[in-house]
Amino acid sequence: MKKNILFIAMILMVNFAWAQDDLLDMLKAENTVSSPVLATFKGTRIITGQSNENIAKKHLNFLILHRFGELKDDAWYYSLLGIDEATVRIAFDYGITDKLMVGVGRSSKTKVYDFSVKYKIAQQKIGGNKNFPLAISYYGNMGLNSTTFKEPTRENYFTSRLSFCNQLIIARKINPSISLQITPTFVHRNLVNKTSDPNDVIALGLGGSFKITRSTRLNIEYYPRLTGRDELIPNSTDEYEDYLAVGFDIETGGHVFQLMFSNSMYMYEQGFVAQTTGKWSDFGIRLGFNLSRTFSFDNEHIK
Amino acid sequence: MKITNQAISMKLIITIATIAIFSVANSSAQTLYKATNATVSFFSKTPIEDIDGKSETATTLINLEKKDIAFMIQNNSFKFPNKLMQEHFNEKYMESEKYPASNFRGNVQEDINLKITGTYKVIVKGKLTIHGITQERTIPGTIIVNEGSITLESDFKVKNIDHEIKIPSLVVTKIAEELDVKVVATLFPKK
Repeated sequence: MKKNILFIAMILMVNFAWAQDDLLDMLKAENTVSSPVLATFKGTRIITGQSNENIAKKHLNFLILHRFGELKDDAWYYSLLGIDEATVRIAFDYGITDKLMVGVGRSSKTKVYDFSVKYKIAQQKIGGNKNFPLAISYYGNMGLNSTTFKEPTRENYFTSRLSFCNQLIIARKINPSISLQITPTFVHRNLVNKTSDPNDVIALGLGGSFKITRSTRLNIEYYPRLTGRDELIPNSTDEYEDYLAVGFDIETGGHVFQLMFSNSMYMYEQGFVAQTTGKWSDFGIRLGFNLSRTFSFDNEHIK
Repeated sequence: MKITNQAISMKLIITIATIAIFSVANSSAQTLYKATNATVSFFSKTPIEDIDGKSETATTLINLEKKDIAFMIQNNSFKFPNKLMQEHFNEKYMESEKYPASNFRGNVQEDINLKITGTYKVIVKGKLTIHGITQERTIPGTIIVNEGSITLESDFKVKNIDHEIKIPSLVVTKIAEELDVKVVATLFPKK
């Protein structure tokens, strides 16, 4: 009988506990929403190469990129950190949807126009019942070289001006401070310097971003080539180098300022993946910066 | 004799258990109201810039008998006219990866019967948790009890400093020290 009384008491207690149930705990228990992981990288580029980030729908991003001359020998003071030899790329990126972004840019010196598209295939999500560990994007571009042909007397084709890049971008924000990315890259050039030079170059881009403070990050980017490593620099006996860059993001509200050291003057994939010339060991590195400003054309937001 | 005794007590247990279970099911069906699409918006007004964010996916529960209210909102559900603001809101200020949700739990202080239809001006006393910091708050609001639905409305202020949300000096002129928060929720009987 004692046992039975105990049993009844237990039932009543369960009832009591159930009725007492905290409303907030109930809300927490019922929450099954997965949250998208934001700001894996600060910009649409880790440094020069693409990140998994897109510009939001109806937002326009205006970019000014600079790469100065190499710092080797006396250049660091004679041309003041290489500023005398600055190359510039001016570009616009626009978000058609939150997943699809298109861009156009032009680089000085090489006179290459680039037209690009980036699409978010998957977004990293945490919590809830629809989480996903990776952010996956596709990036493709077409380069259009607008220089006059070197040999105007021979028959030249418009297609000779074109080059292409295809990338699969796989990124993961490990924690609020560390983001990593792997970027298999395929570059194709319709016209190369010598018949022995390969038209295709395959590289495996590696990138990382490390938070220093709320508004600054340290970034590293490396694009080792898997094929085409023996291609020679024109008029030289040296081979091209793998692109490596180290930089900082500094955020000031509407602007993202990226400051970097890299061994390439190029600000589009065909250039920095396949035609990087600077040697880090010889101080063949360049100071550079990206400045981007985002404008919103989104009027749908109801106040 | 022993066997009968046990049989009686078993019957008793079953009866009580049944009553207990039914009473719970019964009471929760009538006293609990829920919303999964409550609107929470906030406004930051400074001479330089107005910023507003809005979420329409806050969840709310009210217990009419106990007059308990709970709110929960995922910080990254706030939408801004400028996506960069949305990113900064989550990345820099709310630290949404560390503190994904903000919440409030409180109790209506007035001695009223919320099962009777009507409009009640109330004071809700409870705990507001934002950015992982909990503050005791007394928040005024209105409870409108209709047949089959309940509407909650409230306007209150949140000071950044109360929840250890640090504003960098660079943007201190653009973000108000105190934000106006507006909450509107329509709740229906919880199934």
